[in-house]
Amino acid sequence: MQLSRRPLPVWVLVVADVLAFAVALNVFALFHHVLPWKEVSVGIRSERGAVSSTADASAGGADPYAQEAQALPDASAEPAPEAAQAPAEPDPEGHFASKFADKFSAGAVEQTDSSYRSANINLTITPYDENGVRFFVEEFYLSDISSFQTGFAHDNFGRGNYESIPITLGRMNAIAGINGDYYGGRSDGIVLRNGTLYRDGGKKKLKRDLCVLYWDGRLETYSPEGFDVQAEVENGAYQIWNFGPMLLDEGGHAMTEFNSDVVRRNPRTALGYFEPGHYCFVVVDGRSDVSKGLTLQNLSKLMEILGCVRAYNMDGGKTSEMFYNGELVNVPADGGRMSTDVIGIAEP
Amino acid sequence: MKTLRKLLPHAAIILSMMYFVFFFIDRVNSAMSFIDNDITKALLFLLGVIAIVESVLLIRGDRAEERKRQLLRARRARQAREGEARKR
Repeated sequence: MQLSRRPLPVWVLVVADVLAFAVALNVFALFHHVLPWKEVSVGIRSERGAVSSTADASAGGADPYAQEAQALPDASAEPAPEAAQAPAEPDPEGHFASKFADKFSAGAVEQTDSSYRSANINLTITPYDENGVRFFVEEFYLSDISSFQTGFAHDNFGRGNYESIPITLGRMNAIAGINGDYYGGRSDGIVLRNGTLYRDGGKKKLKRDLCVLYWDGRLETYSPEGFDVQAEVENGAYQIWNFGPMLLDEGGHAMTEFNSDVVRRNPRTALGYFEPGHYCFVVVDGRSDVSKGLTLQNLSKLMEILGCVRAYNMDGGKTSEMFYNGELVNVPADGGRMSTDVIGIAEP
Repeated sequence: MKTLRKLLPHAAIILSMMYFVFFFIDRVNSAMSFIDNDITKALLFLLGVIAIVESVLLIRGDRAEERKRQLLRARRARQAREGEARKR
């Protein structure tokens, strides 16, 4: 009895506390980002064709499409046969067949190891290896904005749903694709995918930059301050990502300061926008002897050099993966990891 | 109750260490919302409750200790007075 009343040695207490701490952290990790949490979708649909020319007024941004629409090819331009029935004028519903008529095939699919050309999609993959940084650019033209798709892991919306990126892309019949913004690793922020609003952010203050792809093919990046998701839904938002940061300013110039803490060299995934119907995916390898990755500032400069007018950073690090025809294009850091969402290009 | 009193300080230490970890990893990658999420908020609430209970127990223990000391002092003073009275 006397022995049991003696206090335990200090080292036993310290070891017990450290072990309990390790267990507690693992339990936290299990619930925070391993176990799936079902979420209820807001379920609001944004209507295709509901694009307002004043779409940006609510968010305070410029409306590049208003200028770009004037630069589109006129109706007299010779359309490709498959595009004969497509509208020659800019279409608020996101049809670009006549705009990029020379980019698409007459109907047959022409596919190589680094390119894909069909009646609806023109996609080219270009690898680069410069100054110890290896990166890949998937540039593509679309005849219909509905080819620009996103997908959830296991086809389920919710936190903690993870799936291998090629499996998600395969289910979408995507020709090419990249990882998304890893929305499922967080419970906050806005999620709007393929025209459906899943998460509206609730009453929480938004913290991260947003990227909106509209049904008419425009892509805009926004600061979180004053962002009105309801207004964007009414203005025809087709996809909204809430990770970032934005990589180019309103003038399409590289930036030096970003709304992110992860500014150092890392593997990166970015989405670039040239004009409605013309976009690019960029994936940068990093954390290896072959490629050291890019800082956000370098990535911003790269997107400017590529000629993008808007660019947005997606989840990076081990998540950064690019696929084409079911094959991995880049070499992900530490073998990569599963993701909660993807962005893919598929036949409409 | 005794077991709970013994466990509470360890729980406070473990939760505080977890918060240190959250604080640092949140600075590295705030996008993962290590601090701004429902689980961490619940843990913060728990840490707050433990801190208050622990503080109340500590204050109560201190007061009881002080009372004991005062009683002991009073008893010794009384014994001293009684001893002096007996001598007289």
